[in-house]
Amino acid sequence: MLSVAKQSKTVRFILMLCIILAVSNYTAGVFIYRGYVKRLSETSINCWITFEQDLLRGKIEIKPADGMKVFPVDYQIYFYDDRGNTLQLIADSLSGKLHADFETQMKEKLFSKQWQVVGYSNVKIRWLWLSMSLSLPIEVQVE
Amino acid sequence: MRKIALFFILMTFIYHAVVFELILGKFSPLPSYLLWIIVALISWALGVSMESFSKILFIIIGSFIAAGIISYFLMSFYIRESVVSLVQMITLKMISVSVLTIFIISSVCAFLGYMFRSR
Repeated sequence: MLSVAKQSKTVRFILMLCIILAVSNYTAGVFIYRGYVKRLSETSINCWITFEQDLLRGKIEIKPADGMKVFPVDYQIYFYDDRGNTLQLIADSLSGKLHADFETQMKEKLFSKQWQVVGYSNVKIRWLWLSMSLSLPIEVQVE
Repeated sequence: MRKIALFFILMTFIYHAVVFELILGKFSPLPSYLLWIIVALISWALGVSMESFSKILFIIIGSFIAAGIISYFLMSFYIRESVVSLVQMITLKMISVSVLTIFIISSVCAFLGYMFRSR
């Protein structure tokens, strides 16, 4: 058994070590999480779509926030009517490219009905020791 | 009295840090199990340095409740962007089980520290 003075010294040392580890871990975690969220919201994926008679032309551009590595996997653009039925789907793989162009035939349903458009892109993200796969929304602009 | 207040704040912080580690453990540099060991060690130190076990029980239970309330508000501030409620529901069940385990580990360690201190 340790003497009282020696034991209180050991206890104080262990306590201080634990407090320092816990505080540094906690503050690092908070700052890294907030930085990650900030960089993720700065990352933008834009898509511009133009109509030429019965052709759909589109351009996709991914702008990653600085310091964060973004590896795009694929993109999907859905045209759907007001009841939620998909009218047309445009999808392709990106495999790391930050720019992509597409050109497809427009389906006849798109002429006759009201429709809306949304897009998603699956990306792999690397920042510091974090690496995640996420599905990010595409901002689609129709011209 | 000063010692009780200091340990109360410390235990509140450490319980909150554990809850943070359970939810956002991916983002912090140290692994989660190290924080569990730290909780056990700090509880042991608490048990060693208090004179009566009633004070230890008061500190542990009071700071556990305080940390729960603080974590509820702080965590909803940290993860205000995430709206995927389903994923949160699944993880919250795991978290409640883990928090209960941590509380029991902490109480047992404090009791052991109290029992086997040298007078």
